[in-house]
Amino acid sequence: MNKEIISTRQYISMIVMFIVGTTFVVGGQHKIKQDAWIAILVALIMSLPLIFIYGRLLRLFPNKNLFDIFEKVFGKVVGKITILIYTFYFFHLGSLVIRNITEFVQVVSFPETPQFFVALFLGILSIYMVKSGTEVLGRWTEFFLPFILFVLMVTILLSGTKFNFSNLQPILYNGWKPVISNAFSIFFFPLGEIVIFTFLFDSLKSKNSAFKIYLLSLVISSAIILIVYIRNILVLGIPNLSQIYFPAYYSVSLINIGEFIQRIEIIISIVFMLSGFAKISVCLLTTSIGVSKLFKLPDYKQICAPISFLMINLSIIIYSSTMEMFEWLEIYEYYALPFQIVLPLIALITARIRIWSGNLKVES
Amino acid sequence: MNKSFILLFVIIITSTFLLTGCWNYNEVEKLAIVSGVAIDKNEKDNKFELTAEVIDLKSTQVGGRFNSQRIQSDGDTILDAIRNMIKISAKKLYWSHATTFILSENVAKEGILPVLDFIARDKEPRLSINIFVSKEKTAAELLSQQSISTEIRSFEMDYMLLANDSLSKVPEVQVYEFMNDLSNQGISPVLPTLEITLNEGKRTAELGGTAVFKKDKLAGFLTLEDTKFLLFVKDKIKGGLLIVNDKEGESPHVVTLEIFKNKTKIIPNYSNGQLSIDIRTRTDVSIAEEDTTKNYIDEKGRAELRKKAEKYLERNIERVIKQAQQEFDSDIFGFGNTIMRKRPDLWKEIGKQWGSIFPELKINVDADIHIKSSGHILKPIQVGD
Repeated sequence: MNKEIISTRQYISMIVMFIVGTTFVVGGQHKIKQDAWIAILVALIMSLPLIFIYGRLLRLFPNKNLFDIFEKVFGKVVGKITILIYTFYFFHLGSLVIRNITEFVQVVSFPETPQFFVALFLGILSIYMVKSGTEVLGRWTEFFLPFILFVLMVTILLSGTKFNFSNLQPILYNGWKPVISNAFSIFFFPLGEIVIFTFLFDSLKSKNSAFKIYLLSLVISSAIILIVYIRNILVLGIPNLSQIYFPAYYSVSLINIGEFIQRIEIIISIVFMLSGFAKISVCLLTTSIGVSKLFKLPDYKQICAPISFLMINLSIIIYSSTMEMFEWLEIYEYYALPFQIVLPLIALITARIRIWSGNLKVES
Repeated sequence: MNKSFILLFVIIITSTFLLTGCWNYNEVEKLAIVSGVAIDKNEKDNKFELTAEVIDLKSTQVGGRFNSQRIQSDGDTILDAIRNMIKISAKKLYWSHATTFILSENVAKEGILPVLDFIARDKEPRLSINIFVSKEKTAAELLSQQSISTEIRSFEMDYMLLANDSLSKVPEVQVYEFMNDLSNQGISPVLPTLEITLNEGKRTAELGGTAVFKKDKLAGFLTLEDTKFLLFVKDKIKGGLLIVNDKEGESPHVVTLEIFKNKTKIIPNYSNGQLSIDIRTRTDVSIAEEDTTKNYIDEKGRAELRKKAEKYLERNIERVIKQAQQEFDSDIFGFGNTIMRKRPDLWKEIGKQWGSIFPELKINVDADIHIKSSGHILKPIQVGD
């Protein structure tokens, strides 16, 4: 089997696009307050220990991804169970993302189109993407990330006429408690989801430190999220933000420069779709890799089509309404905790203990 | 190679037929494009009566001007009334281009929430819509008067509001701003109003000042002239005139000043348990018109005019604030909100009793006017013997 190689730059654009992904569609609105922008910075700091864990783990076992590491560290049976759990997490995450996108499309533009069709086209496209391989995905994100950044920045500049800076005040009116709780939500979704990329780390060409790469990607993506959140607050104001489902879309829809540049919110929809698609593809890719590891399949590409169709089906039945989708975000924090922190931490500790006791050999 | 090429070709050709559009497409001639709507409430059976102004696409074939039609319908709720219009129009109404919502006085008095809810919840109307309150008996009659700049009355009302920058006699409030003011603490929302006047003997709609809200219900109206001073406090002045009367002295005269720039600062003061608000305005003006030979252009005259204008502005701002305190009991200036933003610790103490504090609030106004120019005139036009 040929090893697929992607460059650091592609890897980082993949991460940034993944994290930005559906954040603007569903991210953190359920408890957004005055100080959401502080919360993002706090969440960024909170995620430093997390990527430190990942970095150490990946450095102990070079040229391996987390699936291999689990198998090595936990032994055959427990290793397989861990792989199964993670594969399910990525599979489930992929369905959630598909549903987020289809729900967004239904609420803002096509209320009468069945969500299944939007999901189907997204799913088929991501099969094509995954069948083409990690390299293509890397190159695709590298190509589209500048476009996405450009559109986001242009829409932010164009919103400038609607900025109301008094919307940011008062800072920390309710103290640190809501900020910290908001930061936790942002930490688990989207920043903590970076865990998925530890399962693709072996595709990386240059052997830079994983910690540095993750840090750089997290800083870039939190900066994007931060700027867009601040724009939303400045344009819409806090009461509106907490009352509307998709504030990023709405604040762009308010842009009106001299009756000429207006109604450009469809561009932002396209950006949401593109980055959401990148997220779906990454989820499908890792799920396929996980399944192929689980059943010792020679190539993950042969399994991606059935998985994708299962994802689409799960995405249809996973929530019964838009309200449920947003309520799930509150539970997601607790649901994501073992995948993002607990299991990698246990793996790191176990690996350390086993290496120390001489049970586990580490190839250099 | 050749076979797969043909297969690809067939797929591409067939998909152009299969993937031609959305799930259920809407042809433009099957849509009734709404430009604005007037919402009344029938007091007898308590039903909403809606009058939608729809752009008439028939007349566009000739080119030139668009015309508009009106569709009237009623229903128990706003959406019900809108859906009932299908009975008349045979087309589904399309709201994305709506710019104007006009509410009758009793709809505004009963609460504006159902209207806001429709605009924010439905996918078609945009949050940049302008809402007006009608000062006439019904809202619907405003949509059937003479129109000046365009045949479509709702668009004309929208243009009126845009042109208000150099008039500054109505507040410009879009739906999302209104929603923010409504939900925020320590501020009450306002809306522009419309009324009917005579133009060349024909009835036509005109801007009519401010509708003041307390919570979500209409509390009263401010006149056009008073609205200017409201906008001074809210720091929303972009232009407009200040008319300084000098009734005393041997020759009564009027000087008109044009506002170029204004910056208002609101500073809450709290000392010894006594809360007061300082309002400081700094305005750049030019002398735009005078009906006297008295020289206001030289240094001495300028100082005198400046003093008069400052006094005039301070007096009027105080008067409008007093009116809001006593007549409407509604903090349309957002003083409470300013305190919350600038002195959050203080707001935590007094925020709950703001309703009883506001009517008694002490206000100090300090106007600062700078006369920057006097047009083409170096010296007032002199009258010889």
